[in-house]
Amino acid sequence: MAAGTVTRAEFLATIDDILDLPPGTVKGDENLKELPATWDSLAIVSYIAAVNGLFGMVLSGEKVKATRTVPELMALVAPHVVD
Amino acid sequence: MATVRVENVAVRGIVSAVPDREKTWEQDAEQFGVEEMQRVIKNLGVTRRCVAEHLSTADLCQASAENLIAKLGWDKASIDVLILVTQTPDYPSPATACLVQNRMGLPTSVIAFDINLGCSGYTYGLMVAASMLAGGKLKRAILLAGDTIGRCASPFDRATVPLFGDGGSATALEVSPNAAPIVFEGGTDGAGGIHLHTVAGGAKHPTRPSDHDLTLRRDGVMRSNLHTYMNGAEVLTFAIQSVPAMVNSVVKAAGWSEPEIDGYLFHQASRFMLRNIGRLLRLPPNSPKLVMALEGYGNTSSASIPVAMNDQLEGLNDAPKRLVLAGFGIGWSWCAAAVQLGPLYLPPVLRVPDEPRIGEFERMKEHEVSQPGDLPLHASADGT
Repeated sequence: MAAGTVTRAEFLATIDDILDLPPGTVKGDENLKELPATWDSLAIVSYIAAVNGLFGMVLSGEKVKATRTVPELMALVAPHVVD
Repeated sequence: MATVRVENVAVRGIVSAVPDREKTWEQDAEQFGVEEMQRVIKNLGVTRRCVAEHLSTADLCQASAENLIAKLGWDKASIDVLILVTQTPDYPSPATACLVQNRMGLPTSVIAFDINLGCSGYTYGLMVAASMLAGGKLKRAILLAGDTIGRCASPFDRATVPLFGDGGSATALEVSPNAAPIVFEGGTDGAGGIHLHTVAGGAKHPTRPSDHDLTLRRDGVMRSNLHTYMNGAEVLTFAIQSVPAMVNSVVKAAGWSEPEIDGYLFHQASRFMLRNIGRLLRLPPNSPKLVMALEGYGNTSSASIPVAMNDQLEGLNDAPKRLVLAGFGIGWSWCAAAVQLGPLYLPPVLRVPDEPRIGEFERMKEHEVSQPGDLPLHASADGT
């Protein structure tokens, strides 16, 4: 599968979507615990699936679970997010 | 991946059965909260499933098999093979297939055994049963696949409680010179055992009183050593890496092209999982080819593929259809089948009254503890 890229805004919109938040809620520098929805196991599997759909990457569950902030989440897919 | 091609074996009928006791997401919402459960059911695609209090794997499989054999008009004496796939056997021993042979009055000439697999079990069982018949000496096989995993979920685990359901099934296979070949592709990666398992209750770690204790686990869930642990994120990464690959591989081995395929019948892991697999197979969103039968049943482990067929594929009673079956999960273990099915006997899913069935267990226990003729109770501890 071809590896795609998304803009930073598109990436953040994906996180909004995963958490059922209105577009533009996630700003990009938050701690996951500060978000107005729970970043839990359901969000983690949705993130893995979304990343797979966007970039063809398969992230390990352990790596995603270890993230604490939105920048860390973005770092897992760094080459695919462009400004 | 290993490929198996079986010639001259036909599937004559498939029957599935579930307990008539339903559990609903509203009941779960009392435990987990309404808002939380709405998120969960959107993901799982399950608002109701059937969970037995009394019925066992053997009960559900036997109900399926009795209906199947009667409707096919098969003489029980004509059955050569009885395979039962389960991870929830009625007893640690003997094999549940042996008990079912006796309960059903099948001939003692029958070759009967269990296969210990779950999510991948139906397709594995089909491969083993079909391969045995392909040898030519054995003519008829009944494959039973069923599990009662509803009782394996921790009541505090919202990843498994609303998802796990109980079910049993029976599939009739017969030697038939005109049958289309069935192609199987299977594989195993036991490194996945740490992500989906039940640790206590086997002979390596027999159940001790402390194994019943509910303790807080690393995933934040209260669970005992007798409950099934599932790491959903790892199941997903395993599935997206293995399932599309095995499906594409078995389709290629069968010499089929995508437009020729009438349906994909995958282990009903969850709606979220199936949609992701569908996306990777480049099926259009909500493609009717990707069969979903989670609603009303949940994930019934080894029974989920036959339950999906009985629930969703009525048209199979008429013309033959090209189907891709794929079981995947606990192990990690996976097996896909490219099979042409139909016409065959495929009734709607049976509902079995979930009532206590007194008899077998009591007889076995009674036989063990009673001492006719005042035989010495046991040898002393030092062997004298």
